[in-house]
Amino acid sequence: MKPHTPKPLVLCEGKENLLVIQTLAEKAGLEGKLIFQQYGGKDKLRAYLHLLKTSPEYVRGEYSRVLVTRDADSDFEASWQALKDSIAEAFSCEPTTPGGWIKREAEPELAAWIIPGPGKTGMIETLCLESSRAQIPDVFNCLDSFVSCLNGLHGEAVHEKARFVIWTIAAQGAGAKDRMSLKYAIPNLPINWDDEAFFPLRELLEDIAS
Amino acid sequence: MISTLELKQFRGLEHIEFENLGRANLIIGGNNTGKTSILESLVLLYGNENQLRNLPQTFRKQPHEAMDQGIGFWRSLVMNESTLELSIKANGGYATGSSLQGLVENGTAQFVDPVKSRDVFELEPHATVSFDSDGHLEIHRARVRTKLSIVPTKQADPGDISELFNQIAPLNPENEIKLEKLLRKSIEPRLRRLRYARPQGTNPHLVYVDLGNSPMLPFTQLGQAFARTLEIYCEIFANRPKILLIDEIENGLYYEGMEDFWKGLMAVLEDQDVQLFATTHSRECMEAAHKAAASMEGDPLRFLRLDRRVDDPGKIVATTFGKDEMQTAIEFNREMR
Repeated sequence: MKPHTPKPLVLCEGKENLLVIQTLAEKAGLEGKLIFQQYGGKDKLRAYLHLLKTSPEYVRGEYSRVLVTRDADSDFEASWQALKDSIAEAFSCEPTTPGGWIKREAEPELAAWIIPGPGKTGMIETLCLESSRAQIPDVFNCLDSFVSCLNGLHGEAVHEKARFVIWTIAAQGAGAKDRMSLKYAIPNLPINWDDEAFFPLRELLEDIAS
Repeated sequence: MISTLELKQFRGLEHIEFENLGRANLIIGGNNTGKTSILESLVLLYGNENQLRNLPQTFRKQPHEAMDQGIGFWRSLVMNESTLELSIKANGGYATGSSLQGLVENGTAQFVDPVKSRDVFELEPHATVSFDSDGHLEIHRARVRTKLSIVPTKQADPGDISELFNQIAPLNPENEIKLEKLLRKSIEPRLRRLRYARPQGTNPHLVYVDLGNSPMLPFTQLGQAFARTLEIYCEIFANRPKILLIDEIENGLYYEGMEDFWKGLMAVLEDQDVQLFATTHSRECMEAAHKAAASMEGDPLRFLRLDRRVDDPGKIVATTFGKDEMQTAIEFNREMR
């Protein structure tokens, strides 16, 4: 059996969250220091945590710490409560504050985090959008007025994911029609990975990897 | 049925406990984590004297030196040199009996019954093995009146399998029909009937298979999967065990037929009130068992996994999981072996 050094595990809500958080970790110089997995959406979190707890890697002690993340969407408190409940059900312990580590005997430490950050609503796309606002104000002038127009047209707020898609088109310039998905858009978008919007999550990743 | 199994200082296992056991229990884990040891512990607990005596060769290759076969095996039951005793306990098992004592000397196991009383008393099934300063091992256990059958990795002699088949038919033709139906569904759809026979000029008696369009064939001509499945079902129907041990259950089975094999086997386990403990290395076997169990009533399947800790490679930990975790693992294409 090849020897393993236990590594921290970051659980992400979906493929796009994983892509952004993994890229953020790489930009922060943490490449290879963290393991990333996605649990296929918030509806599957409970089942995934039960699976994680019985997985060979977890039982063998290959994870030194586990960080569970999910999007706040439109209600931070409800999302935080749901995340705490899922963790409590699977691991019989409950996080008290976002990013606070729970120490457990002979088990990896656990923490939970709501994206975009404590007390805020939104999702991983919100972080990407906000990080580039200062760099491309013209694009945001266009985007904000267009979204405002759409909000008036339909009488309800444009979903954050729709706002994000419009931004990927507006912010990438020529050839953007082929790069609307986050997977293809990330290398072409002016996301500022050092922007303060990413600071809390980045600090948490640096902390878990330390 | 056995609901929990606890082992202390047994072979490489310091202390493990499997809880919430099912009708069918698939034992999985990496190389040299102790899967076969679990089967051996159940033989120590429930095996008859013959099964105990043959235990050194049942699941492991015969050592070259005859003298080593017993000494090496029995001595290695106890975890390490500094350990003097091991124990095995099963709760919710078949728990009446008196005690049986055995002595292993010069590599040969002798089992005697020092307790003459025929009193039957409630007793938690357990076994202890101790090692004294003279190099003798003593085995004490509750004598439990539970019949145990073993299907080891190596295929049984075709004559022995055929003898088992012959025990089924005269006493219970209904089970013979069941057996034919099971083999037809899971292995050989052309099967019309089985016959115990010794055509002129052949020896010994064998099971012959009627496939409809040619002379009947000895079952050994139908491949390993057929022989393996026939052996398992004959063991159940002829010996009527309460506990069935199968080492490397996937042996000889083609992956496409595994789900049907499991469906048939689980139905028989339920029908005949047998509890199965089987080892496997195969992910396909695990998934097939899960799919078969999901189509049945109740919650008959458990996976019992042994893992070696990365921070302490000498420490083995036990995990029991069931259908929910397996379903999520399949969904996410996660490895659970």
